[in-house]
Amino acid sequence: MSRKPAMKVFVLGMVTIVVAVVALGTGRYWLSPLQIVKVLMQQIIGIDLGMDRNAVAVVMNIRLPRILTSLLLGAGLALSGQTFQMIFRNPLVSPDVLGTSTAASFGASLSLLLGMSSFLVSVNAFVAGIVALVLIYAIASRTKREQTLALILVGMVVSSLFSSATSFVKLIADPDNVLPAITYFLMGTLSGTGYSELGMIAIPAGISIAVLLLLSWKINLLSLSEDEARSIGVNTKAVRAVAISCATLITACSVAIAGNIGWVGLVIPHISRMMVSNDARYSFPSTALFGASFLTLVDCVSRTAATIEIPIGILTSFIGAPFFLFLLFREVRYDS
Amino acid sequence: MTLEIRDLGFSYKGHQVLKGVDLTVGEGEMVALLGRNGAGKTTLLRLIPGFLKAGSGDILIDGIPVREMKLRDRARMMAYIPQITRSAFPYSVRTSILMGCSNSLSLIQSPGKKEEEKVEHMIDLLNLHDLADRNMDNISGGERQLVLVARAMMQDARMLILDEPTSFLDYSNQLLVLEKVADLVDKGYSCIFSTHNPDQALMHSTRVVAMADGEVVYDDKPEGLMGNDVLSKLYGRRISVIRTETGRLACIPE
Repeated sequence: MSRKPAMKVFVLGMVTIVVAVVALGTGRYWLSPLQIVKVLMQQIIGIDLGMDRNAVAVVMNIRLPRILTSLLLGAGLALSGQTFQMIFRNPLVSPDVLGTSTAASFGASLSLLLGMSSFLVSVNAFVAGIVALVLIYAIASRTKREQTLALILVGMVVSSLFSSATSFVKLIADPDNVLPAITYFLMGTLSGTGYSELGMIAIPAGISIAVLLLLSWKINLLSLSEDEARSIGVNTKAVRAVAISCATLITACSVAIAGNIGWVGLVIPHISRMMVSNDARYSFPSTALFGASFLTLVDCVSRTAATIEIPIGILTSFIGAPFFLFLLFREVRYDS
Repeated sequence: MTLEIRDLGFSYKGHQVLKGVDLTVGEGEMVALLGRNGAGKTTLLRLIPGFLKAGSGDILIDGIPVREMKLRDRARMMAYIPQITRSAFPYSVRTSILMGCSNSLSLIQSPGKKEEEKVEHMIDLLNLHDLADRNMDNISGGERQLVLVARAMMQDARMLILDEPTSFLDYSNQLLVLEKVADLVDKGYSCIFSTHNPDQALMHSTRVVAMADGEVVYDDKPEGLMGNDVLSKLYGRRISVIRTETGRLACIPE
């Protein structure tokens, strides 16, 4: 394996750890990285390193679940975007291409309208996302068109339907209480994320991320033409089905607990390919690490920049867009 | 390795595209497929690796029906090289060649040092050193075709299927690609390629197969096209095949 991109992936891994530690210490109750390490050691190894109870409570009960969630969702959304870009052979595709996030948004909005608990809001969002995927697959497989094109077209139709349904829910929602709640949720936020939310998504998102990373070489080959990929020996139908399912599962998990977080899935894969490599062995892990660091950093800004939490969906664009433009204007090679 | 096509038939939307095609490609053979647009050349070439399902007949590699082979086993036997390759993600030449090793990896495996060394070997064999670090977007069409040939060799496939490999290439690149493929055929590879240029068939192939309306109308050595009206009938105008002073065959439209 060539050393340069492998080294970059290693450095990115280190950066992600540093970002996580800094994020754990950042907030109104500020803690230095050393204090964070002490808290973690104290909790994991069980030796008393003299950290006070408040610090432990803030880190372990409030910040840690939220930061683990942002790491997981950042990595997942970015990988999901990269996967969809490969499958649809289109660099402009993002995880919501099939309309599953729109469906999940509808599930959440409807649950909020009906006054359900936050747990049920998440469950329903997740279920709606999966139902949409099954629906899209079932309809697309019955059309006589090429499968990839059929999926995109059916995805557009389903997305549009769920989008209208969400608009309808907003229209009839109580403008004083429910509508602001729906709007705020859909803007994307990790506010209030605890261990129960993390526990809900950890297994499906974690397994999906692992599968996408393990299949990365084969997923990458889907970016060639169908004939080329099959000629090389890739079972395109099976790899595509598994990859789409995992990428969708991640998207549904994300909307279920954090609302719509745009931009990460679209731009992070580009940044990763520009800065590390186009070779799947490096681009997939680096995309996951970039995504994890980026979302954790953005979430950090979201909860510290103002007196109220700024929805993360707004910040991902504010921070990501200029950075992406900067990269575009640099002379970059797309491969190493 | 021998490819045998027996009584192959294929229909599309009620139209019989191929009618009882029989064809054999043996080891060290370079077979050129000639025929007008719609004669069934591309359909035949896409049926061989199993991209299309045959309506009737059989395709066998060393006596084993291709339809019974797993995709990975097929990829070890034969490689399909398209007219043009374009990816939205411009991979480097090295990465593109490396992709060919995928049939020897398990579902969750990625290439390692062994496969990377094999890529270097392919680069040596096809003399692609100057291109190795460049992106597929920054090389000529002919060079891209050579990279695809290298990728096919990475598959360990001994049967090369090339669908109009020179259609988007300038004259010098056309010669370059076909000469390199002919070199491989000399080393024991087998090849079947389609072309709209009968001169390429006369110059590079060991056998010419002419197709019209889904049927094979000629299957013999290139020399056999001299002194008859096979090409004239095929293309609907008078065409002579002559032998030049250097002993080469050439096609002269009259």
